[in-house]
Amino acid sequence: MLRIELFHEKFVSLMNLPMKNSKTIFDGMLVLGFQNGDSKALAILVKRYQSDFCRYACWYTHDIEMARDVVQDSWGVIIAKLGTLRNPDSFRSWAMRIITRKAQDQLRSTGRIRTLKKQYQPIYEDGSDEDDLKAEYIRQLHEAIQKLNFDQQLVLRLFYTQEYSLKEISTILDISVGTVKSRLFHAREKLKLNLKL
Amino acid sequence: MMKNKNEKIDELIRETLSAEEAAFYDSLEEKDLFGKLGAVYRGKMGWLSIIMTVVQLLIFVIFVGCLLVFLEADTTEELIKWGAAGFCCLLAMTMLKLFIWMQMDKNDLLQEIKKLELILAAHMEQTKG
Repeated sequence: MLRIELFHEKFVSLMNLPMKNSKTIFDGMLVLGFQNGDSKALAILVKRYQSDFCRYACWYTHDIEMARDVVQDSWGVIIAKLGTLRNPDSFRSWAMRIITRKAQDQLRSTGRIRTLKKQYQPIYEDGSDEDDLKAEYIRQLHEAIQKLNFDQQLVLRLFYTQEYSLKEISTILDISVGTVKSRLFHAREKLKLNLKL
Repeated sequence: MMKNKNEKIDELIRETLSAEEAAFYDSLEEKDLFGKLGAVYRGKMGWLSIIMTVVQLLIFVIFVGCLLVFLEADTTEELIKWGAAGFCCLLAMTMLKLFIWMQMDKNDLLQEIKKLELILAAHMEQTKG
């Protein structure tokens, strides 16, 4: 066990590859399958990611109808370009980048200024004091996050809730890794300040 | 022991997949020769394979022509000329066929490498969590 782990870490560091998980590797298998003309692979890919993409687009545009259009258009582009995707494992971040761009285009073309509405109000149930305290913390955290600017919220969301790596985020948003890091840093600092930690 | 371990990891991989995905994973192993050959024509470089096959057929026609003239030839000089041309056609056909076989081989290898990666990653995730 340990030997394989060591070997893997050494291998990864040698090849200078990002740590891959089995999810992205299976994506790679599906993409390879698609590139080899297996039509089932595409259907599985769509099923695997439809809800993820919709959720992301929805969050980005704050509009379910628009999000649906964005995801629909994006799938068109993804299917058209998938045959030429060089690194099959990078499917997830590559597709997310397409969706981000489509969403930006859509927002720009409708001329809407993005307003940061509160998406949902978490419901807190009555519980013990400890639960109340925790809920209160979470509520404060939510408010603090809402106060951040959109770019910072976006990076936080991708990094914490969707668990993308820094490199993947830089691909998705088309910015450098350094910028991702600094946005994360500033977002955290601002959160700390607002929460008075 | 080793076999047991492999089966365990296979199970582990299947657990994280939906039924459809597992079916896809299993189908990778079941492809027969014709399935693989079909994949070469349907895949990313399919257009190139199709062009090569068409060219190969053309060369075959030329080869048959060469052969007919070769058999009808009267002088040694003509025999050599048409014989050499026919031989070149055979060579070219062989090379073009090789490309298709290599492509099949490449697809197989890529798939196996991906599978290895998947097994390694699943192993890592198991030992970590």
